[in-house]
Amino acid sequence: MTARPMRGVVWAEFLMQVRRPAVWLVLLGLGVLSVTSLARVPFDVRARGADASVPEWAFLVQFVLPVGFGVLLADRYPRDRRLRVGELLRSAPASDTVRLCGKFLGAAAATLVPVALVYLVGLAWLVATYGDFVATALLALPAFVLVNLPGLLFVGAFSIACPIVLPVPLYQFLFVGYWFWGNILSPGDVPTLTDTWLTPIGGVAQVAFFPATLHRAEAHWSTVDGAASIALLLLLAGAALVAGLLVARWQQRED
Amino acid sequence: MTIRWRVRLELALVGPAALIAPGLVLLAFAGLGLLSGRPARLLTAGLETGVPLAAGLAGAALLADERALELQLSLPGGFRSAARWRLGLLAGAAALASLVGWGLASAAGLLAAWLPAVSPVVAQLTWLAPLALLGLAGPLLALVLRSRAAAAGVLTGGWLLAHALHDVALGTPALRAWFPFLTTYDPIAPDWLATRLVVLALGIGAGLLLGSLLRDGEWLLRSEDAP
Repeated sequence: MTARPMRGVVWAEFLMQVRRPAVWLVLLGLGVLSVTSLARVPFDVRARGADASVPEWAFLVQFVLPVGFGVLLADRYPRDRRLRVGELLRSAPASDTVRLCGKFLGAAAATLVPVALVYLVGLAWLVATYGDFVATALLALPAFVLVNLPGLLFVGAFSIACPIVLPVPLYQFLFVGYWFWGNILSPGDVPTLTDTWLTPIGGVAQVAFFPATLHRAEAHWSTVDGAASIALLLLLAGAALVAGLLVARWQQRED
Repeated sequence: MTIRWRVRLELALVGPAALIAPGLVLLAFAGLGLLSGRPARLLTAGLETGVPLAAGLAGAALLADERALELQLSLPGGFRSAARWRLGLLAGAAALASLVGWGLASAAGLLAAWLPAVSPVVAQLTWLAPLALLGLAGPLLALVLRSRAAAAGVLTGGWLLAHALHDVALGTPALRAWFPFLTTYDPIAPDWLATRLVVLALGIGAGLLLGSLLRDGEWLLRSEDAP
């Protein structure tokens, strides 16, 4: 019963988001900076090959692009309220669960398109510079799925759910502050979540599943750690959406 | 319309969240500083990087969230007058929070370990220069890019990169000259004052450009956030 409305919501949200110039402008801009920094990373591909360079590039993509990803998703839910189309949407066949999940899936998938494009450009640069096309192609999808995707889904779920209760600029500020504090700051500087399972930047999965990686070679995460980190991120993403749905329903009753 | 009435009206439209956010940001940085045992550096980071980012994001949203934009544009002076009032009040709240935060932290001796080697008055450029730059760059980007989300993306992405790649920025003369967060990483740098003045000048330039763009209300009507 809900499959057809879900497909419709996902597709509509996908098209709305993928057609926004802001999505391409911000993510491709950040992508150019990421590709530029790729040229500065001291890859020793002859010694380590694509086993190291592909996951390292996946991590570089995950360093700053999720900030743009989250910021660009944050206004999706409040937009319906700002345009005063909430009551109209409630009269449509899709339930509020379908609408929220469809918004998350469609908008997140559309915002993933430029991220994936940036990832592919970096891979092309790696192949053009170092060769090793087959190994790079074989590692490209696993690295993206294990290092990037869980964190991006985590960021996407919170960026859809949190602005249901928080003003968008406040959420954007808290989100970028969290990203810097909880993913990039070294644990020696301040108390932080960096280098724990709960890091959507993907460092745990990178080290756990791609042991040849150069990044944080001193960290010794096992594949169990990597799987636990991914499971925890996806679980929290689901919890954020459920909490967002409950709050949205409560808000509708109060309206 | 009296000034007092206008101030009350615009304060209500800016909203309490945007007005108290700078103070809360400083409290959060102070708490993190006390937890880490490095309150001077974290408070400086709050003043120099946290409050300006909050002001920039709030400023971008203020310009984009005007629901009576067409009505505003039909009035003498257009939207420019209201935008000036709101951005001015926002900047005033951020400046007040920074001054009070600086004063309280100095009185408690919390800032002494991370102060620039200049007089206390000149040292206020620590927060004033980046506040001018980021606080005005946010609304300027929202206007130029015709999107609040794009402005927020550029502002937050740039903020994060400035922190994450500060070593590269500080080692590259062309970037160091206008690096907005120098005090957080090198408070006793010999070129501290010169770079603060460059950052302040860039902020003033952004403000002048913003003022001239606000004369043309059509920019706002073509925004993706337009009502």
